[in-house]
Amino acid sequence: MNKILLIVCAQFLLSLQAFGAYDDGARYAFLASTLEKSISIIDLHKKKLADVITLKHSPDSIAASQNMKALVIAHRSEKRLSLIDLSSDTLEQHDYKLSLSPDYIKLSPLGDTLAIYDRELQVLEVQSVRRHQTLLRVEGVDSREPLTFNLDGSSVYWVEQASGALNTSDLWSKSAELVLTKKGGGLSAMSRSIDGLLGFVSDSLAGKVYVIDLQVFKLIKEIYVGRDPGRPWGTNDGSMMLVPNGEDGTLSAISAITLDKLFTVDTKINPIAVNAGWLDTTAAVIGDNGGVALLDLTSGRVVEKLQFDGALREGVVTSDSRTLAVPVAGSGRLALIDMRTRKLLSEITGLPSDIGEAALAVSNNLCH
Amino acid sequence: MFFSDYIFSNCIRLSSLLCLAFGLAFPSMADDVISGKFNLIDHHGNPVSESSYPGKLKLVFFGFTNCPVVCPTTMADVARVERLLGERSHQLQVLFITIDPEYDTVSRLATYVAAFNPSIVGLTGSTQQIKQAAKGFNATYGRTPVSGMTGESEIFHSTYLYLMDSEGKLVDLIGYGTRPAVIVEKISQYLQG
Repeated sequence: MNKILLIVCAQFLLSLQAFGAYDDGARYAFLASTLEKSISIIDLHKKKLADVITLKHSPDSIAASQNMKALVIAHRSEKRLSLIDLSSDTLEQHDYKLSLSPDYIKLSPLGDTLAIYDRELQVLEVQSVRRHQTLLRVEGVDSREPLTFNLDGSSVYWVEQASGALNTSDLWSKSAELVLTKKGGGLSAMSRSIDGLLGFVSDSLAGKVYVIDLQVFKLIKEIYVGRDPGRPWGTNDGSMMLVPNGEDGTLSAISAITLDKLFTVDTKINPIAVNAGWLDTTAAVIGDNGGVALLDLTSGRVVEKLQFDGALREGVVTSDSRTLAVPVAGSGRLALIDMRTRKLLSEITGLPSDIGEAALAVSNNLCH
Repeated sequence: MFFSDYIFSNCIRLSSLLCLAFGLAFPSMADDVISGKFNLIDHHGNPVSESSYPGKLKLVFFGFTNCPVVCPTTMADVARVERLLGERSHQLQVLFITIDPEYDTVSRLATYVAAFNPSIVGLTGSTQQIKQAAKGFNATYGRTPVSGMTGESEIFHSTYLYLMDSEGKLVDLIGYGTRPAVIVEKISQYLQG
């Protein structure tokens, strides 16, 4: 009976839902421009620039939350955060002062809490996006790599190069440290498996990936990949971790099930990011030289190469896993790549030349 | 203790002192080899397969009735799609395949799908049958601990809507959060009239 009531309520709420201008998280991608102090809104359905939001301060990084129907913007030098209400027709902006400089921000998977890291102060804070309330503050955090949340946003993980360790703290300030190597300096950010049970950290100096059981916070395996491995990237179905080997220009695929190396393929690309798409049968290795290698993950072969005139940024894959959107800075374009046909679909031009990485509120196709 | 129940059960690993078992579907297929095959029980208790709805497009979703957000909102969206399609909705069969067959009995499924639209068919089966069905769609599901403090667990699953043509071939994938009007647009390409 209660379930029926819930369903009726869900339908009622859906029918009442006032759709704002750009709160369709599966449709609109956001690109920040520091020089122009603006956010470009891209309509991924119509494949065109939909709008431009002008800001008071330069946006250093952005994150989109479907849960909050908001765009979160970090302003590093002003020590401020801006929130844009994507459900309001006027795209209302609110900004507030922080006690730390947001050098790096990361939204939790639920999109309701935000991790903020100040490199100079070496302070990490987790804040409630809605109430601007600090939920966790950790001092003495010395990390150059991105942070990682667990699935429900109750714990955050970071690596510290000096100690060669993976660290964690939960919202109740229960913390732990796991030393992975005595020779720090090469650790990547941690990526977790889709069930949240395992963490994967690359060590570029040792040429291997550490696998950590996050439940007991212990190292359970070391997997040798290639030279100079970067952060592992997971496929959406959770079956593989894809590890780009910078010096080799190769990509190694690790089974997230057996924890064995499945294959290593030569992409001839020094990668900045890897995205999987189309039912995780295609992977795009995005390079720092404007090149993109498209791989067939079922055969472990490179099937297509694309070359762009500009510096590529991290891309996003749409929630149907069909389209990869890759910003091309320098030439002010957004390249849309069809992950099904493995071809360039179209390019949206006329964007600011310094566009950063793309943000999309609904890009994951797993519910957890 | 958690036991994740995944698609390819032959890929099991024991990964911790908590006896976590884990197996997943390898993405070994492109869309042209997604079989879309299943042998399940509908919410009336009848055995059904992918050929049980001849001449119809199928919109297939993997979920569970206790899902708090994604499943009810997707089903509400799908129900709206059917309303928007009007008469043409008779050419479409929506299938809700549970990935929690132990809890989602035939009667629970019947109550659940009817709350959205009586035309939606709920499908369940044995654990093995569900695994096989998920394999046919390259769908992922499992159980994961959410909070180390409470020891609670949560089910996760793929959120795609698979649009299959009357021949059982995948023609489109629809991502979570796609608005009903857009889904209607996609489906209409394959409908008559």
